[in-house]
Amino acid sequence: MAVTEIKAALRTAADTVAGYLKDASVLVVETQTIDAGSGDEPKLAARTVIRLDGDNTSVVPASKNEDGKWELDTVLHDIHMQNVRSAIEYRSKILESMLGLLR
Amino acid sequence: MNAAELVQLDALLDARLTALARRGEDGLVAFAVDERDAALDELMTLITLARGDERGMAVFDAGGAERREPGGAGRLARLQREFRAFVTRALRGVSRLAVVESGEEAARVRTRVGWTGDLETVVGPDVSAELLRAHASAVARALATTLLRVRLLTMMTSAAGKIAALLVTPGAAVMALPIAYRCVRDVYTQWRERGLGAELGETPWQ
Repeated sequence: MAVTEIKAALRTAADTVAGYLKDASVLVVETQTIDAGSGDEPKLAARTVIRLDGDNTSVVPASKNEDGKWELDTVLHDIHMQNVRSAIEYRSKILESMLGLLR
Repeated sequence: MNAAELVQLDALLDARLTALARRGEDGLVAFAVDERDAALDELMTLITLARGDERGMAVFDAGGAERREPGGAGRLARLQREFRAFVTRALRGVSRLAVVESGEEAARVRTRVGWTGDLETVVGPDVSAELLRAHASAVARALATTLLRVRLLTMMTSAAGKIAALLVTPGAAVMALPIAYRCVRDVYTQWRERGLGAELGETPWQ
């Protein structure tokens, strides 16, 4: 009985790993702002999309100043980039560990 | 939890498994000299039980006095339950959406973590830069804990292969997993006692 249950748990683990590898081709990190209490939907402030084939796209939080030049919102950009770093590190290590489970 | 710290965790596990294999070759009589040897004794007891010896095993303390460890499937069954719960927890971490929240009302920031590591953060209008930094750290900690659980699970499956060689019973590889769970758990405790993995938040076992 116990052996059967452990085997079932391992089968679930293998299925999870397989599903994970299938879905892991794109990494998306988004940062949005919301005006609390307004009932409005969150607005996109920054987005980074990283694909396994090496293509990356980024949307950064910026606005035009009085001179018409773009100015980066450094506070939002900082948290966004910190999240991007966390997500990349997580993705690379989790893939390594998941593959380790299959070996 | 940096790479060097993880190397030390792997090294502790290797040392424990080597000691266990040596103890297995020397026979099942165990001498509880210090706490770490006591942990090794416990692993050997579990291996004896998994082999089907319901009588348990003879253990001698430092003074040479013999005591007989209680046999029975109860101890193994408890470990099997704990191991299954750990597998469920580890897989839930990577297969379900997690949410990390900091602050409240207009000064609230919320991050949803997708199962492949996608992050979606919503920032309220009154959130300070300081709260944002703290929140980003909380997100990183949550990801690190999920990662650690999967890594520990990988270590358990790897350790089970070596422990199975000591069991020599049908279904040894599967029966070895709960013992490997116990072994990795002991080693993890030792690793944390050395002050490693200090930035990790919650315990991976709960």
